[in-house]
Amino acid sequence: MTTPMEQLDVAFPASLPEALALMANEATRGLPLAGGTDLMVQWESGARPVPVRAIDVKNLCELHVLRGENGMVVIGAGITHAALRRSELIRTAIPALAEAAATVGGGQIQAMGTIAGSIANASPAGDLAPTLLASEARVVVASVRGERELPLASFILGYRRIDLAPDELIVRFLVPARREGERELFRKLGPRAAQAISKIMGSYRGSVRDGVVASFAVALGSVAPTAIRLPEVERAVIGQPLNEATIARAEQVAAASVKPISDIRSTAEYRQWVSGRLVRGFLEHLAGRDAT
Amino acid sequence: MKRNFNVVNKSVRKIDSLSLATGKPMYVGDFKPADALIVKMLWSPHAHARIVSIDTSAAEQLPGVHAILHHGNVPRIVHTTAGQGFPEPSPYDTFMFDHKVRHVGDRVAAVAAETAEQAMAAVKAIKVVYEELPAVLSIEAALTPGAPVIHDEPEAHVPIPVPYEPQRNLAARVAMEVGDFEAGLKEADHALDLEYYTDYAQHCPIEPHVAMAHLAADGRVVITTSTQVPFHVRRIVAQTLDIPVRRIRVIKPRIGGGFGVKQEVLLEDVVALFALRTGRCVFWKYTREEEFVSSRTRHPEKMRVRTGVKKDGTITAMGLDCITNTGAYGSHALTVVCNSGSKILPLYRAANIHFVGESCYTNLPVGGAYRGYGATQSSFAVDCTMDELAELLGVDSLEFRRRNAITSGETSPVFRALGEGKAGVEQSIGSCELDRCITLGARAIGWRKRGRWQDKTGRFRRGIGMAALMQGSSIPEIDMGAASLKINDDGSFNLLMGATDLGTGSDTVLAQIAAETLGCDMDKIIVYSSDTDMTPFDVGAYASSTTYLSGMAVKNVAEKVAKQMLEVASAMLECKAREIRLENNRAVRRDGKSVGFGEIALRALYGTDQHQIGAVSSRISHKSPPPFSAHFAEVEVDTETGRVKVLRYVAAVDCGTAINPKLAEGQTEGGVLNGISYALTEQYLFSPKGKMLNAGFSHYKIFSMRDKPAITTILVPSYEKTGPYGAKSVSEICINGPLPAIANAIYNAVGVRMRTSPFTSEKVWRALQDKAG
Ligand SMILES: Cc1cc2nc3c(=O)[nH]c(=O)nc-3n(C[C@H](O)[C@H](O)[C@H](O)COP(=O)(O)OP(=O)(O)OC[C@H]3O[C@@H](n4cnc5c(N)ncnc54)[C@H](O)[C@@H]3O)c2cc1C
Repeated sequence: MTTPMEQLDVAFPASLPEALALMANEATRGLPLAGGTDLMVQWESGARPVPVRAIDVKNLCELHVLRGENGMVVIGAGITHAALRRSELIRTAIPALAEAAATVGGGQIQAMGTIAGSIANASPAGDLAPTLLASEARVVVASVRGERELPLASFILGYRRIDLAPDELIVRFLVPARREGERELFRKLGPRAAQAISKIMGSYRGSVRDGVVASFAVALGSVAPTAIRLPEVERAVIGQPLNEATIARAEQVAAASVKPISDIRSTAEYRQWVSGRLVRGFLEHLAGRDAT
Repeated sequence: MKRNFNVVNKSVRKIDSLSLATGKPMYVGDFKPADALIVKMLWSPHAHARIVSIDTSAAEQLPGVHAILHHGNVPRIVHTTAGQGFPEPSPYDTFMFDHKVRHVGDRVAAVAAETAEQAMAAVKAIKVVYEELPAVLSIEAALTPGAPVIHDEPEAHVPIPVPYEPQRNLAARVAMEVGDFEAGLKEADHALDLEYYTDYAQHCPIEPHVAMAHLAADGRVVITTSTQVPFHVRRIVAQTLDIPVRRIRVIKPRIGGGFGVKQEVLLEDVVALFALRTGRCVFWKYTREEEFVSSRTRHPEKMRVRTGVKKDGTITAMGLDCITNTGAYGSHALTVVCNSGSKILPLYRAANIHFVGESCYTNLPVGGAYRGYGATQSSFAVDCTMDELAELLGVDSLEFRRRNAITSGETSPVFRALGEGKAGVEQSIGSCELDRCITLGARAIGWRKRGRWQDKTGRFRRGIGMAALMQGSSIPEIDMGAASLKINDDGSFNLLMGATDLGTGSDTVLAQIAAETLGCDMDKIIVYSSDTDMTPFDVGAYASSTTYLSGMAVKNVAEKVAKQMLEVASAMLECKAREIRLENNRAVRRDGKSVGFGEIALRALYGTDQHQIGAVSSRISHKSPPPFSAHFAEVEVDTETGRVKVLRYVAAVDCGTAINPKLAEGQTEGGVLNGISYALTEQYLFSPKGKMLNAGFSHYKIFSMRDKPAITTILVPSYEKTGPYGAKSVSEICINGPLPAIANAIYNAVGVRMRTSPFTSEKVWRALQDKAG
């Protein structure tokens, strides 16, 4: 039996400790509610039952940090897509993330939707995950029992599943800033510009030294049940000269290593092809050719 | 022939724009009383099934439930939901509720309850046992001998004498031949035989279907509804419920978009019957999903074009065979496919013409009227073929179209041969500035610099394509428009019209025509449309008829009123009526002495020889003068992903005199954007059992302002003598251009011919792969 939406009981804790205290107790615990851009839609469509209680985390100031420290960018869980898009810090330290945030939905969705909501929703079509994976972001979750820090790659467990205990909240993300000489790029291919849920998108971060690929991390979304890194591709290019032969091989390996599904948005075959072309585009970008 | 206008041909502000911008209550939903009962429908989960039994006893016991309707407790009267002239050219194949369901989303039972939640709970509590039948899910399957018969009920028939063979799923058929088509093909130096397919699409009005009914004090049913056809609603509801027309009043308030989908009577019978049974006000609004699945769509259409052309560019044969999929019911089945022929074949001269149009039933969503109305589909097929013919001949396709296009003073045998359910009406072309549209459009897009695809390289390749188009203005000798006009004490006028503004701005355009004729300011015209108790009859807003036909009725009624005013003024000014001009809200004698319209009104209403200055007027048309248009698109194709981006779009349109140029541009831009969306992304995706999988805006993409390329509209004036102040239609033609113009532009960019819509990235990518071998 689901609760009618107007009867949903929403708690507005004033601070993170207060929120965690509510989460700690089964009688007061509620579903974290941030921008509501996923939840409200899922409730409305019946894809997800309306819970008895929700805890509004959108306005907790502890979740709104956004600062750089020691080559690391700390992004609070409640930071919106609009804030990511506009932040000078993000635009220089993690430009691909600013790019990705700028392609999420339309203006209204960007104003409300948050980074934690996007990651917790764990949709393979979420736009932020690939960039965060390619930059080896870590996530910090908290409960009254204390904080836990883990790589994002192990936090995302599967299709719409994350490693979060019932009493925990996501509090922030730790994202390594781009280092000297590192390049990165986000690309998305959707049926149209505004309000498009990604057909396929991806992100990379890498560097070249003396014509040889020194580092390369690449992740794609919408090609598997979760956003994924492509380790085979990374192995195939790191230490190799950044030339056409390497790029062609990477393209092949990419197409072969993703196992996308056919769904109503596109066929598996097309997604494999585009995955290959995306990876090619990334390597061409790394090589300084303006491939995109 | 007056051409120096005061009000007409000016971009006056839309008369309802301020109230809209300030959020005044104007739409059906704004008038819903707090205690209205809410309707929810139980829709068929099966594509094709018989209802073995239906048990509503548990549902009836639920809190808040007032009434439930299903096939066992409503009149069984066969009719069509298509709001067309009477008797309708569409088959009578629909019952309010039937014991058979014919598509996923067909009606099974309706509940009226105090709240939406209670109504939904009751819908879920209705127990239905179905006997599933094999479903017909494509045109090919429908026409295979021995296919399951979708309309096996004995009542199914068409009320006019046209072919109808439901036993083989044929909902409509029309054919014509001029000259000797086969001989024409033989005569040709080059011949082409090409197949095209256009997909389903939905109109996506932002206000979905919504209707409300209550009983007036005298027991009559008052229906307030978002409709394009209030008078057809009244007639069809009377027919379906078996009650007299006089017991029904239909009010059409402000409409939030229609595009043809509200030329259909889909909700009104249900709210009216609930109101009669419960005595309560009853409200029903479609959800977006219901709008996609259970309202109406653009008929998908398979087209085969066979043409022959001589080396000198003369078209010797033009053949078009069309089959539309009308879905589970034959709404507009015949007339849409007729228009596939009649709205494009006259465009190009050909001595030998062949046309066959058929429409078949399937167990899929139902087709209906959609802006463009069959011409959208066939313009794609015919225009792309013209592009290919030009290429075969090695001539500029623009010049090839120009050389063969019909022009002023010419006629086409097609006009006579193809009507809507009967023979057409012969006409010769009056105004036609197609040639100039082509010239101006080509200049604006930079046609000469488009190059050949063979010379283009790189990942992103650009191309330019064009299309030439025509449509009609009203249905000759079938449609009728009417208006009434009366003067008030202060010299203002009530203009009452059956014509239905559905957001197009027709209230403004028609008021401009009245003001121009009367010689008064726009703010003196108080427009009311439409209400079957108050306003004279009008068939409604469809077939590109409002400005042209209802506009003529308005001009005519204003002329009658002006004449009456002149008589009063002549007594006041002591001169002959013909010595007086009406201008600037005054009746002016030759020497400049004048009386104001208010004074005239006061004298007529209160002074001597009292009478109401006022008149009613109606018009039919013996012509359907085509507007003409040339569309140009510049696209960029990403050869890696197949993604097509429209960079620029130019639409040059000859709509006669644009009564309101800004609104005419708005119609054109809106139609073009809608057409681009249809060309690139819009499609219905079905499960193997015929259920639509993308019935919502998250998976059915429509272009929004953020997706809009630069669209340039060029209004190319002409003067249509039969229209009000030279006007023709403008609203439908513009949606027909993007499919062919973009397809031709894609070819010019990368050398692949797209003949199946929509041109999704994946489809273009596949075509590029196939071409590369
Ligand atoms: C019209 C539309 C278009 C969209 N387009 C895109 C698009 O193009 N690309 C894209 O990636 N996404 C898109 N989205 C999805 C959505 O906007 C994002 O996923 C968004 O980032 C979710 O954030 P939110 O704050 O609104 O989350 P909410 O809806 O509030 O929550 C989502 C989930 O996160 C959980 N959650 C939120 N905060 C926390 C926290 N601090 N700790 C633990 N759990 C938490 C919630 O419990 C819930 O399970 C679109 C959505 C809409 C409605």
